Amino acid sequence: MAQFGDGFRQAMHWTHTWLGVVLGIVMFAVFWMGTLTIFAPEIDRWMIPETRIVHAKREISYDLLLSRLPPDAASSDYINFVVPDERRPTIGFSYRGADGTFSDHELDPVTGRPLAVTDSRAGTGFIYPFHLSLTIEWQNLGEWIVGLAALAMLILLISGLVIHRKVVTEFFVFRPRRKARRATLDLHNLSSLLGLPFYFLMPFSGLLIFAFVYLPWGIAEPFGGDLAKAAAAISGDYDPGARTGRAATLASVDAMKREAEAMWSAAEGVPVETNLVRILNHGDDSAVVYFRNTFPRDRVVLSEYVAVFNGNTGQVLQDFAKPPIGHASSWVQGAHFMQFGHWPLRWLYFIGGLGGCVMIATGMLFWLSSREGKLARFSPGHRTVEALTIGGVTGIIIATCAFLVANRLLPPGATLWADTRAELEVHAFWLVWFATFLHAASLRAQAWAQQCWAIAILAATAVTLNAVTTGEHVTAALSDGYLAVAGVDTVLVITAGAAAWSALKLRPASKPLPVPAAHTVE
Amino acid sequence: MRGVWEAPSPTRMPAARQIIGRDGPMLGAWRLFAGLVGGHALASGMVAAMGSMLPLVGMPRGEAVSLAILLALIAYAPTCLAMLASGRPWRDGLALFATAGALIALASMF
Repeated sequence: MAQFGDGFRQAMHWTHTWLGVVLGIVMFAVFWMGTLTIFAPEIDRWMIPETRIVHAKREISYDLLLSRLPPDAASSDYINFVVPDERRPTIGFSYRGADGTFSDHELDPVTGRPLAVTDSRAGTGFIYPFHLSLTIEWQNLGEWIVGLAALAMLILLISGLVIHRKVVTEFFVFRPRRKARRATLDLHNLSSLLGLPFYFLMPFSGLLIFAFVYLPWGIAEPFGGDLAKAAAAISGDYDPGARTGRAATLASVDAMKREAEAMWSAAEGVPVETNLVRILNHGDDSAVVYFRNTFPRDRVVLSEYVAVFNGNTGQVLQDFAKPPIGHASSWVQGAHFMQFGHWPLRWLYFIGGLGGCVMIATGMLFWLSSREGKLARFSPGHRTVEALTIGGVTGIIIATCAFLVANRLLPPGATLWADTRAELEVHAFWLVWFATFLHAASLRAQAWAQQCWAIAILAATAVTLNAVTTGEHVTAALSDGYLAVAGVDTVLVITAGAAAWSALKLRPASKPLPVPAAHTVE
Repeated sequence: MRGVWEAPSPTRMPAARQIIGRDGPMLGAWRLFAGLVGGHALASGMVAAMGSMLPLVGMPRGEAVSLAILLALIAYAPTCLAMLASGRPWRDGLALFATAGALIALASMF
């Protein structure tokens, strides 16, 4: 009779294998984009050169900015300012117009005037949304797919630990010179164990961040089915209600900001600053002004404090501080966002993210290599997984590089069939990614080397184009104090070198395999 | 041994093939459905029940829901794994849905 352990382990083996094969590509895409999202503001500086500004701490008058609102923003129900910092040196300004559409602008931190910036979604407008929703917005479908991938990753990690009984031994075993299949499995085990706590933290905290999307009924039910009430109790959200239609003048937002920061600093014992200023129902007597320290520099926890003021009188309507369990939950979410000011840890996250990509890719490669040499290699299922693996691993890196190249090549104001320049950059990403799947399906294993060459060429092209179009090559960027630009360029150069090295290693043998001599029958 | 996933034979046939052959597509689909949908219902029920009942013993409602979300998400992945590994998937899946239903009903009472 089979032992309990064997039967359970078999089930875990089945789960690990098939869940990995079916959702591996989605997990890789989410992990890859998540890894890039760690440096999304730096990618913004690279892709939107007009925002390459050396940050200096200065007082910003929001009263002045509000006095210069565009006409269609004057009666907006939602106006948002993001306070500049060293990673985002411009003042972020967005508002909802009367037709419900959002307008986003970057304001000069010195003059407060709008900057004429390159039309690009860049890191925070494309790479970050891709990470959290694959940019599929319909009915939150993208967020559900990413949530499923996060859940699958947790299951894969647990089932992987059950399968690999000798985890400690396997951690110290990596035999790169053994057969490709053995080396792939060793690298899969090594990369999995090296970042195991990080790989548990990322999907779990990702699920937690979107708990309001994934568990809306359960969260709303204790509040009488009202999700807005739940958000108010858990996150300090504030709903001012509908506009009354009675015009009113806004009190000084700068004074309210000082009061909010004084309240928080008194509670905390150290200076606490706001980094979000929001005006709801502007120009109406129901207006409120909302302050939040969404991404504090000196702590992991997110949105610890929220202060809401009556827009017309300046009186405090709400002074919300995260209670203990909410604080713990926000800490876990903050550990996912990684927006606090800790550069060594940010780079460790980046390396951990790349390690996750290696773990997922080697898992899929092991599945493929374990079936090579068998009839399964020619089955439609094997061919499909092979094409998806190549397109999903090297293909998405090519598409990302193509996104950067398109950003530097498209002229300002470029349009095609009513699509804006920013949309054309995104189309370039999707078209190139789709092409890599076709390429992989037609050339099969040979596609690996060719796609690595494509990464090398595109990454080197992106660096060159940045130098040519902006004049900010690595040394110039460093001397001008644009560390973000120099950092992105350096990573691209390393990527090009690593891809070229991989392409040479993956090059198919030039000589055909020797044909065995026929035996003669004596 | 009852109640666990038993290997059908001591052969060295790949585990995946054994399980597919043993379950058939219907039972395999049920395992996935019960794990994902039943697990989701259980997590929702946990959040609703804890969020409704913990305030009765003095915990603020927002805190109760925050705690319940953390615990429900921790429980979700093992629930899916348990369904995928269950030796009695029909019974265990139905038990999972029944538990989720009971939690939802409990939440609605308070």
